[in-house]
Amino acid sequence: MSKRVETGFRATSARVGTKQKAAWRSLDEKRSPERAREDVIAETGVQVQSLVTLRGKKPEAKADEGAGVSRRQFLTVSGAAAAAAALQGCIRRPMEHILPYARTPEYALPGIAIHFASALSHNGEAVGVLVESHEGRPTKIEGNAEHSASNPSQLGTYGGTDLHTQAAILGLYDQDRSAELTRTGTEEGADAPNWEAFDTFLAERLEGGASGLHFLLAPLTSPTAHRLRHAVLARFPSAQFHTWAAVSDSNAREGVRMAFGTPGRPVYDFARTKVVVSLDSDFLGTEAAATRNARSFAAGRVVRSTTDEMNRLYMVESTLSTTGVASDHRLRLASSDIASYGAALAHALSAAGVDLGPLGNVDSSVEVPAAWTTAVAADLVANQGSALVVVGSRQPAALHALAAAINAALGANRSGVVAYTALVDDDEQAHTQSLSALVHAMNADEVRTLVICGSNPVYDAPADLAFADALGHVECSIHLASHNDETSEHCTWHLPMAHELESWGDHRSLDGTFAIQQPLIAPLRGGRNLIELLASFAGEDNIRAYHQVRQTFANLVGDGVFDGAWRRALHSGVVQGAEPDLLPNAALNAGAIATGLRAASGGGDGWEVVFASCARAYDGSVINNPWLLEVPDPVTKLTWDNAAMISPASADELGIPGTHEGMFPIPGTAHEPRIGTLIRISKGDRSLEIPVVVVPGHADHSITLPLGWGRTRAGSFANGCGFDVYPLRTTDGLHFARGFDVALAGGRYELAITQEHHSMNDGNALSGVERPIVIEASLDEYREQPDFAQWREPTPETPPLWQEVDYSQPRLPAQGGPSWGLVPVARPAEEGAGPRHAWAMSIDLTLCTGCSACVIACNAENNVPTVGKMQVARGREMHWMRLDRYFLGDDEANPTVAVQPVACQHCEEAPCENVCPVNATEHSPEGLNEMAYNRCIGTRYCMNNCPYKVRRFNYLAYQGHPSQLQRMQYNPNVSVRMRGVMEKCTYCTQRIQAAKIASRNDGNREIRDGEITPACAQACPTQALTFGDLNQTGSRVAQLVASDRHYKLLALIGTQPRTTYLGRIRNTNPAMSASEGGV
Amino acid sequence: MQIFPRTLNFLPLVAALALAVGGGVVTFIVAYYFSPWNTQVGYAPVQPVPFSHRLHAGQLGMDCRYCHAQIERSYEAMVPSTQTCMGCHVSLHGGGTDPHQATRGSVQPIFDSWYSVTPELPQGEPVEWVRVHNLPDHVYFDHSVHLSAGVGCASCHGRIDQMEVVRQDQPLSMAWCLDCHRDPEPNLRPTSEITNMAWERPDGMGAHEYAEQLVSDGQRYVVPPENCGGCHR
Repeated sequence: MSKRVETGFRATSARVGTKQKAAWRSLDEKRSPERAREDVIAETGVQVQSLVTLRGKKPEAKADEGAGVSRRQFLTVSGAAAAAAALQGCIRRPMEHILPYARTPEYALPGIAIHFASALSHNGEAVGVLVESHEGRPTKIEGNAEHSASNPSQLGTYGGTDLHTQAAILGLYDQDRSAELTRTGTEEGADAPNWEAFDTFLAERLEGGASGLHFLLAPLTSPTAHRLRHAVLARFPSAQFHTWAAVSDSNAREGVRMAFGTPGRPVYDFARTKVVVSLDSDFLGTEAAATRNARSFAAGRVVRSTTDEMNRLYMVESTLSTTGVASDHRLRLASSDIASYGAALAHALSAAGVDLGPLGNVDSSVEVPAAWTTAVAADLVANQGSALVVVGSRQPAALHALAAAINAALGANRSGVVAYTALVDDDEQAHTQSLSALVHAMNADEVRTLVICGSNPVYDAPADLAFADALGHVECSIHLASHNDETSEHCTWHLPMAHELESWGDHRSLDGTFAIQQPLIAPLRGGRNLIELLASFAGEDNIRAYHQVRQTFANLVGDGVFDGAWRRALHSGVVQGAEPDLLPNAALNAGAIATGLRAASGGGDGWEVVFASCARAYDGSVINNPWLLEVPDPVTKLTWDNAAMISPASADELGIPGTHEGMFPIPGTAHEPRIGTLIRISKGDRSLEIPVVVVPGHADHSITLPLGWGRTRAGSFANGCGFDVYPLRTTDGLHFARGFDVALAGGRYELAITQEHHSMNDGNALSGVERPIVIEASLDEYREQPDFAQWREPTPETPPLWQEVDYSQPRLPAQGGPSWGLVPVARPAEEGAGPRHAWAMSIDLTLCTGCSACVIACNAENNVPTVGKMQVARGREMHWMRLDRYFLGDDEANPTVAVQPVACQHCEEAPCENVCPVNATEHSPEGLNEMAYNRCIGTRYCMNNCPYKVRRFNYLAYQGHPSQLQRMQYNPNVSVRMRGVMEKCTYCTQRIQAAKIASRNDGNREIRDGEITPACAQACPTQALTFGDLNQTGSRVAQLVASDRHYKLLALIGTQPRTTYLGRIRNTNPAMSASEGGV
Repeated sequence: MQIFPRTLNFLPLVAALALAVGGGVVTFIVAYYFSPWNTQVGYAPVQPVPFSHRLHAGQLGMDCRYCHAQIERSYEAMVPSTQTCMGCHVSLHGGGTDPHQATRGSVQPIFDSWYSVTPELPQGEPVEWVRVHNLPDHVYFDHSVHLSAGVGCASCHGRIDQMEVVRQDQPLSMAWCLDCHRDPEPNLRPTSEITNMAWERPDGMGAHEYAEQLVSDGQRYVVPPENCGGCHR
């Protein structure tokens, strides 16, 4: 029993050194805290929103909300269920069978998961992964620590992933993936054609020569596909290949071509940078190689003591992105002005003595605060060799070329901060030109056979090309795709495509790392992949991807050492000795860049529209995935929809009605909401209606439209979600354009936004102490007062209500004896036993970008259900981990942003445990706050008593919805929770148990630090989360908890949480004062 | 004057009835939920193949782990694959590769499973054994850690080597689990003896004394979990 001390708080304001900026999650919370509190005081999950039914112009129910059930039906069903349950108590449990293998596959041990190394491609980059397989059923994807795209430093035991890689596992089990070939003209009632029929058809068609044979592919990462492409060309020299992807780094390739004469792609090593200037590049989020970038960028931001250095990121962008969230200084600037800003920066660099030749004299019309050119240029010059300028894929090629020139002049090439690698696919035109040429040929009836692999041009091609109409001119069109989608509908043949987790392949990553993609399961829907289709066109005898990939590999390593090298490559997931193909250092073509830049920096008038790769939907190809649909957007916190993002000032300018920024009317008041107001965006005869969300930090007079939504044939989950913005996208304004007319469309569309859910700021006047939640300081403030976070988050010196457990003692064996015994059996602790485990997690807020990979990883590991738009709107989302996004400061136009991941804090003095009437939530001797689901009766007392709002209640049978196929994804080591049961983060207790059992079986050894990693920490691309044993000497988490920036969330309540935070540090440049718009 | 209304005359009758019914319910609950009917002790379903543990483990003296291989590594019971059976049986019953040979009798399902493997069905058809020891789905029991603690097979499964048909020997209820988790010493033995069905603690040694000796012989000191998360995830 600890000794009783006087109740009281440490003085707060008097001893706080630097003042914490005001933190707010929405404009409402900032402007009228009382209003925001009304929502919060309402019980979680029964928010004010629930009083309102979702109204929208698209009333059809989402597939996973289930059919409506009338009261009578409900009573009938529940009565029957009760009767069945009563009966079940009196009869024998149902008979179960054990089905062992007939012949045991190699290595397979029932109950023990096997991990296979593979690689998955996304956004033109291939990431090495380890896929967990339970008895042949892949369930979880992790990063491969040996693969540079997942873990560029190759240090540590696990690699990072992004949210799309995490979600790919559910894409495998998508029940809407097509399973059948279709051919137009197949008679009603006739059997669907099979692959043999297609092979016969193809052989006949190719026999008569292949005039007018065209292929449309996405950018390739596969050397085998590249080799086969040449084989096709060798067989049919007249065949033509085109490349199209709605989101690609085509501009970056073209920029490298403009600068050096050969197309290539820049690869950055952020770990060695000190100053980074990002021009509209969301390199930590939606750009290619985000995982690699995030890992290496974070490596330069790890601050463990006041003497540590930290890199600095200047961000210039129109729409607030995850990279903008992570930046130290952020300038909001319309995308069409950014090329001009690049010219201004070049001018300033030139003035600071950097030799840029004619590039330093390109006129710039943009008006930015002076510090944004002079101070930024000075900072770049002062850090030559470790300074870097990166450009977003939205920006024109000339700006990419300018950045290449600046980086060369700043010595970034020499120091290896940037390198240029050759393309895996061929030297081509820009993707827009390539597609335009194809459409032109189609309209001229020159295309007789068109093969479209993987892409969906009818949905995502520029609207002015009218791809669907052009398809009507093609005699035979063949579409290989995972879903029978918008393009398949217009094609002669639709062929189902195998998922990357069920077919062989190979990938070269951006930096040249070569990896083999190996299947984890036979194709569930019986498809083929790109390699196999190309092999059939090439006339290969054996078209199987396995054979083709091995042949490419043999060409690479040579015959003599093939078997060993192949096995090693499959085992580690990386092919050793496959050197990257670096571009030679070529002279810069400054004149051409200057000309291009002048052409690109023209502004134009009218509203700007920016077409952005969506952080969730990407370009729309992956969207039929409930995890991606339901994960809140990193910035807007929007789920199940997309919306036009505009700045507060633009909202005023448009005259968007309403008085508050929330989503729903406030009952009993005249306050009408603004978010969700429909606007009409038009240019010429193209127009679009879409709801708005107001995003502080967005550029004025600019609208961001996320791509990838409003699909009509994506599948049962995504059809009808969000708004298709492709009809506004044309070849001359592919990424952004000015000259749009914007007006109110009249009416509203209800959006499900989680931004004000689960607020921890209860506004309670308790002792007048404010609740500091997310804590931030500048690097200088931190050096001045290293423990700023603890001072701002005062820890009370109140005595605990309950007897405290001494976690430094060894874990005692049972003292109870048998359950029926009256005399306890006393057993002492083992002689010489060390302290027990004390599990804890530390989250470094400096490193978190809010990318949300952890949320999806948690979904996958812990069988967390998705609930649908209506339930999200009611505050019933089930994510065990949420990422609270706070705006900081008083500037509504351009606030700084901080993200805070919050999951169960595993309080040592947990308020939830005390209120449970049935002991369903209990404390383990190792400090875990545990849920026994089968004990829970669903009172929800715990949820209401949780100050962190991390408990989630199954209001409905959310797990009843997934199809049999989707259930194959379930982790067998975690219970699937039923309706009426509370759940929450367990620190992945199944992984803790597995490690403990392994250590006991392994001669009762110690559990090594880092041996247990919860799913969220494992997925984190920046390694912001660290898990471990506080009582283990030298463990990383113990060091972090002892470090100066460490603080406990809501420490004033005295809950003693085990999850703790490291205060966020922003490396601001003193030369950029806030008054100059520096932020 | 009558203080109580006349209707109360029925009270004793109602009370007696309630007592009788209530007593009946209590009797039923105790009789049912404490009985093997509920805990399923003695459950011995008919298996597709009348496999005799008495013959294999008893008379032939085969070690449990010959068939339940790798059970020290996995949580599963490691019910053997058809392949394991065929290791011996392929050369019994007259041998040969004819799937429909007449002399195999009750072992025929094993052969059916073995010969069901074809290029079209590479995984083959499994033998559908009936689960005897059936824990609820929210219980995560792990065989391996119990074996490394020194809990013998017989402690939970009984004298399998004497069973012609496997039956459930212990209640497998949560109280039964916790009895041992709170006081594991009576059930500990040297890890070398875990599959020895007939093993008994040396005469004259108490459970506690013997457990201490095991620890001094290098076996790990067992601290079984009693918290919810030990078994429920």
